[in-house]
Amino acid sequence: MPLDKPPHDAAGNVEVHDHAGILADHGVIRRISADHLVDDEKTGGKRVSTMAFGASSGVNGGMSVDLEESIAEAGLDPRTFVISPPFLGAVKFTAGALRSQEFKVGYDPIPTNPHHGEVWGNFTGGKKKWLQRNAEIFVVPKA
Amino acid sequence: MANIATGSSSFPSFLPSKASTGVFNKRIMQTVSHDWHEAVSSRLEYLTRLPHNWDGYGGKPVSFLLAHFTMSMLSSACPLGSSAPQLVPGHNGDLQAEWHTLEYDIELHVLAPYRVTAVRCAGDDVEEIQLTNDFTVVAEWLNAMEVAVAARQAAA
Repeated sequence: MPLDKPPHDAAGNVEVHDHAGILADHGVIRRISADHLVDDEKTGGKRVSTMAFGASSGVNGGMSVDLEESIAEAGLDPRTFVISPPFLGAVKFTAGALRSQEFKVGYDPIPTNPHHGEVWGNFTGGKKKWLQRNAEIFVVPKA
Repeated sequence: MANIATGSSSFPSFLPSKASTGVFNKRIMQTVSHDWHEAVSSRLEYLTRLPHNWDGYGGKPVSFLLAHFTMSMLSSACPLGSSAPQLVPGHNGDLQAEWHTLEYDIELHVLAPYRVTAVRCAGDDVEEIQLTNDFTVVAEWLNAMEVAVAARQAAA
């Protein structure tokens, strides 16, 4: 079922919200670049930097994401959809896991991406570390 | 002493002067020559040339001003002999300098010149502080990291 339209303020900016149509087990995908990868002795190789996780500047700026169920319901392959530009990769969370860390998961379709969402919350060092440790690799980025 | 705001050799006017502090013992833009200077400089130049939308969400390249500040900050904050930082771009034209060892994760998120969030993780313990122009704590963190690495390697 398509997601209901999100709330907007008078200026047309999407308002911070937790969308009821994005269920706990729904996938929330964050695109990553090879430039987000760092060497870490603890993993014995590359891993995603905490810098891949943070809010955009601007009014009601959250962390941009792609909503897996929305992409799939449109008949598209989420793994293919999120690697644009083509060198990008992606990591994935569930909406429930993000909400367990007091993040809100919203819907924010934009002209270039009708499956675009936002994750709002307080991106402290501890929260970013949680996101980095709990991100499941969805598509490995190409260098 | 380099003034990171202008690149001149004069002391920044908004910082305490040598005369007022007596011994200059804080790492306030005290530049040191590191063997990784060229590599870090090249990486910063690359980050300023990232294409628009490099991250798939409309990401911007790192600004020249931020790159210049970061180079000066690292030259000041990092003790001689410290490991090279890894530099990761942010969505908003910001960047992060990072070091990762078995013992510590140290991250300096440079949001703007003189606006830096420093985070150190040791296991599940996370310290987070806001910095402007005094990076003494970063030098202490990096020293502690290098000492821990050296101790581990000596014990191996």
